Parts: sequence; structure tokens; C-alpha cells
Amino acid sequence: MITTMPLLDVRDLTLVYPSRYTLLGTETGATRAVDNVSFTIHPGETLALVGESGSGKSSLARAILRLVEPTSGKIVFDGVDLRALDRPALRLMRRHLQIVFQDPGPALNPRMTVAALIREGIDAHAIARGAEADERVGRLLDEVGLRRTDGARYPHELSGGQRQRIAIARALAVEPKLVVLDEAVSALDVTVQAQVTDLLASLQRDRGLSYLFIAHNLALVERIASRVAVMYLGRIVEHGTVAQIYDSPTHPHTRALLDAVPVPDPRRHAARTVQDQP
Amino acid sequence: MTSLLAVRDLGIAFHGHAQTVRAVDGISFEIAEHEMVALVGESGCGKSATALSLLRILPRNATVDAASRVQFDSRELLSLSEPAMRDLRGRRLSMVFQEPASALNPLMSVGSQIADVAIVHGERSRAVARQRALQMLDRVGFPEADLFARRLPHELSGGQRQRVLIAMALLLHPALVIADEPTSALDMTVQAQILELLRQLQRETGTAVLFITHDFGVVAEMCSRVLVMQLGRIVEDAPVDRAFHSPAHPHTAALIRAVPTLTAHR
Ligand SMILES: Nc1ncnc2c1ncn2[C@@H]1O[C@H](COP(=O)(O)OP(=O)(O)OP(=O)(O)O)[C@@H](O)[C@H]1O
Ligand SMILES: Nc1ncnc2c1ncn2[C@@H]1O[C@H](COP(=O)(O)OP(=O)(O)OP(=O)(O)O)[C@@H](O)[C@H]1O
Ligand SMILES: [Mg+2]
Ligand SMILES: [Mg+2]
Repeated sequence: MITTMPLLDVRDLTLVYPSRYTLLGTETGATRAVDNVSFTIHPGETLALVGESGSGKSSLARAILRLVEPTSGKIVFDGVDLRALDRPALRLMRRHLQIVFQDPGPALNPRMTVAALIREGIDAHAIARGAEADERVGRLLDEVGLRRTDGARYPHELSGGQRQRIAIARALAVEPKLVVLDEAVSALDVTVQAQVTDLLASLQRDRGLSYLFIAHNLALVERIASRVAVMYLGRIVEHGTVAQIYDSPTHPHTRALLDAVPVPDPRRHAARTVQDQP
Repeated sequence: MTSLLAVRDLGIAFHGHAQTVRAVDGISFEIAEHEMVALVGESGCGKSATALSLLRILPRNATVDAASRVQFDSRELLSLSEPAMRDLRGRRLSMVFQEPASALNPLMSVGSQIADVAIVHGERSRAVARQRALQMLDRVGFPEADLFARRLPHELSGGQRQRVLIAMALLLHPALVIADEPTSALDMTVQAQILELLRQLQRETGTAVLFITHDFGVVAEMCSRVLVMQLGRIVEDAPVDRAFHSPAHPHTAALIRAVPTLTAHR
């Protein structure tokens, strides 16, 4: 039994994107992207969030950080009611509550080098200075599998997976308590993916870091999360330990997600490939 | 089988701010009509650079070796005029980009962006183009396509944007689709739907696909052949079954060993 206070306590969170008129005068229609969602994350815990494309996972993540203003509900992080904070207080709080976006490109300032991007938060929150800060940046580059010389490059000079790892290094640089990882390792090949998830696990062991891990790769989720929440049409329709959800899913959508996992063995698909030849 | 695409000695260098990177180092491969070929390899090994060079849309700081040859549709792409190349792109040869957010126009509704592909390639009626766009949106999993088409790219989820790009790439039933991590942001049920759509197009119109992916489940399910890249070179070119069960190169074996598989629920 976990008896500590939750690090993150989300209560009845709702986010509605309002309808809007297009240039042609038609309406786009409102979207209830997050619909009365409640959950907690404890220190040192990983909660995985899975669900269909468009089910509201990224919206929920953005609403928790107040990158988009929730319509209603409560978010308590480390004992502080986030919705009661003004902007400057919220910015200070973000040191402890980091996010890695699904599409890291737009979040990386194209005019800053990779090293400067990683160092930005270290300086802003006075975590280290001078040579010590440089060494931290170097170590983070090592840890996400990049070369220290890559620090002199610009984000657009990198491959998609390299850019994503810069976003991860940037989030970890400020030593947060909770990191929201929105499909943060989805674009990485399996070897680099394993390296990054091992890094996340060791930080969790050493520093008690918590993660909200948004992913669609159920095999990966099984490996790194302790609990799973399944989202469908803005709601959490199922919530439990990995074993509960994978072995006895109760919601039909969860079952559909599990059944659709492709098997990495061509012999199990042989019939299909041959039949497709015209 | 005739080869639709034949790449010979393709070499690409990026002249970066801090250093020059030889991203692709003299690779050769072919793709036949109807064929689904996977291109796999570690992050940074040169997969996207290869893809962009085939469409001739590499960034400005890149150079392609003078000796490189890319034959497509019995034409030499690397020496084709820009107008002729524009005519091919989207119609005979299309691409699904790895990062959908940067590939879409942020100010234009997604419906119009898809319809524009048809208009650029000679469709005179906007209404017909729009109808085609809506049909394709429906096929990539948006039953309320009419409402959905009005949205701007930032009003979509990551996986929805990815499907909009897929709809654009498939709209005109091209002969070859280069799909760079096309399902990396999709959950398993939507991914299955997209893979089925690609198989349908392969059957109906003979579309060939070069699949850049790190998902070996997708490779096993979709592709007949795998190209494995490492540090800018192709180290293995083998039928899928052989690559999985008796890989010739240690890097192929290492990639496959690292695949997490589902242990519960089987
Ligand atoms: N800015 C916005 N304006 C209007 N609707 C939006 C906006 N952003 C997202 N939506 C809609 O809200 C719903 C939830 O989107 P969200 O991005 O949270 O989904 P997701 O679960 O992260 O999906 P994916 O797995 O595809 O990334 C979707 O239907 C999407 O179209
Ligand atoms: N515009 C650029 N300027 C300089 N170097 C670049 C540029 N684009 C890519 N590179 C470098 O070229 C190499 C190949 O990049 P590419 O994008 O082809 O990799 P990739 O195989 O697609 O990787 P990923 O799986 O991470 O997307 C990488 O080392 C990358 O850092
Ligand atoms: Mg998302
Ligand atoms: Mg790439």
C-alpha cells in the first residue's frame, strides 16, 4: 500500500475546446477533449496513459501543466493547487513539472545550439554554474546517446530521433519531480529507445522521479509502468495495475488495443503477404 | 518484375554549422512495383535523408554525390528539371513526413490542403477535389470528415495530423509512397486501419511503399523485404523472413533483439 501523499492529484478535470467560425462562416464544432478525469501519481511512480488517437491524452497533459487552461477541475501538485497560481509562480513551479512534447520540433528554439538549449533551464533555475553546468550538459548528451560534439549543432541539423532526445535531455536537466512524456520515445529505434527508458528507470531509482508516460506501444508500457490508465473519448474508462489491465481488460476498447498489437515475427503473417501478390 | 525505383551509389553530405556529416554513404537498392520494402536502422543512420533525396527536397545545406543515380518510372530523377519533378511529386511519388506538424501549412484548413494536391495536379473543379479529400479522410479514420476538414492543423491531435499527411500522400494513388515513420504516433487500432488501407491501395492500384519504421511488428506484418541501414550504409538487404530468423549482419540481429514484445495477454 502506498501511504505517502500523491505528488500529483488530478480531480474531475475537464477541457472543452470551443467551436469556432471558419472563414466560410461554418462552425468547427466544440470538442470535449478531457471529460471529468481523476487520477493520482505518487513519488517514484510511473503511470502510463494509453488510448486511441484523439482520445485526449495530449490535451490532458497540456491541461495539467496549464499550457491550455482547463474548463473545470482541480490539479494539486506537490501540495500546491496549480490552478490558483499566477503566471510567475506557475513558471517557477514548472522546474519541478516538465513535459516532453509529442512533436519536439516547434518547442526547440532554432537559433540556439543544442548545448544552449539543454543549458537554458540549468541557468534559469541556478542549478549549476560555469564548468559544472557544462559538465552536466555533456553528461546529459552522453546519457541520451548523443556525442558531446553534437552540442555545437543546431536542432534543425539533427535527425528526428536526435531532436527528440534533445527535448528529453532538456526536461531532465532541471531535475524535476515529475516528467510528462508525451510519446517521447515513440520515434526512436528500439536500441536507442531501450537506452532512454533505462535512463528514465535509473533516475527513478536514484532520485524518486515520477512519470506520466503517454504511449501507444503496449509492450513498452508493460516494461516500464506500474499502473495504466486507458482513455477513450476524453474519459478514463479503465485504470489499474499493468497486470490487471493486460490480463483481464474489462473495457472493450482496452481489449481492442491489446488485440491490435502487431507481432514482430513474419512467419505469423506469412499467409497474408503471399495472398497480396496480384 | 520491373523495378519502379533503382537507386545507385547514393551519397549525401550535410554541411552543418559545426561539421560536415556524411549522412548517406553510397547506397544502392531497388523497389519493384507493388512491393512493400522496410528501411530500418538506428536513429541518425540516414533514413530520412535518403527519403528526402528521392523527392529532391533535401535542405539547402545538403549535397548529393555527382555519381549518384535515382531511376524512377524509367527516368533519372537527379537530373530532371524542377517543373518535371513537381509534376511527379504527389502524383507518382509521394511522401509521409516524419514530423507532421512542420509539414502542414498552419494557416490553412486540413481539408483544403488535401484538396489542393488534386488541384495542383490538374483537377479543375474545387468541388470534385474537396469530395476526393473527404473520401480519403474517411478512409484514414475520420467518419465525420466534413466537420473535421474545416479544422486547422493545430486543432488536431498528433495522430490525427499524421493521418492527414497520409491522406495527402495517398490521394492520387501514387506509384510509390515513401512513408517516414507513418504510424509512430498512432495507437494500435488506428495503426491497423492505416496498414489495411495501404494493403488495399497496393491491391487496387499497385502502389509500392518504402516504409521507414522502427516498429518490427509493422515490418513483419507489411513488408516482404528489409533494408537495414547503419551509419549511412545498407548492411543488409534481405527478405523479411530471413532478416528475422537468420540475419546475415550482426546489426540486424541486435536491432531485432532489442524489440520489446508483449508478454502478458497472449
Ligand atoms: N486546439 C484544439 N482545438 C480544437 N480541438 C482540438 C485541439 N487540440 C486537440 N483537439 C481535439 O481534441 C481531441 C483530443 O486531442 P488530443 O491531442 O488530446 O488527443 P491524443 O489522445 O493526444 O491523440 P494522439 O494519440 O493522436 O496524439 C481530438 O479530437 C482533437 O481533434
Ligand atoms: N539539415 C542537416 N544538417 C546537418 N546534419 C543533418 C541534417 N539533417 C540530418 N543531419 C544528420 O545526418 C544524419 C542522418 O540524419 P537522418 O535524418 O537521415 O537520420 P534518420 O535515420 O532519419 O534518424 P531518425 O530515426 O532519428 O529520424 C544524422 O547524423 C543527422 O544528425
Ligand atoms: Mg497526443
Ligand atoms: Mg528520420
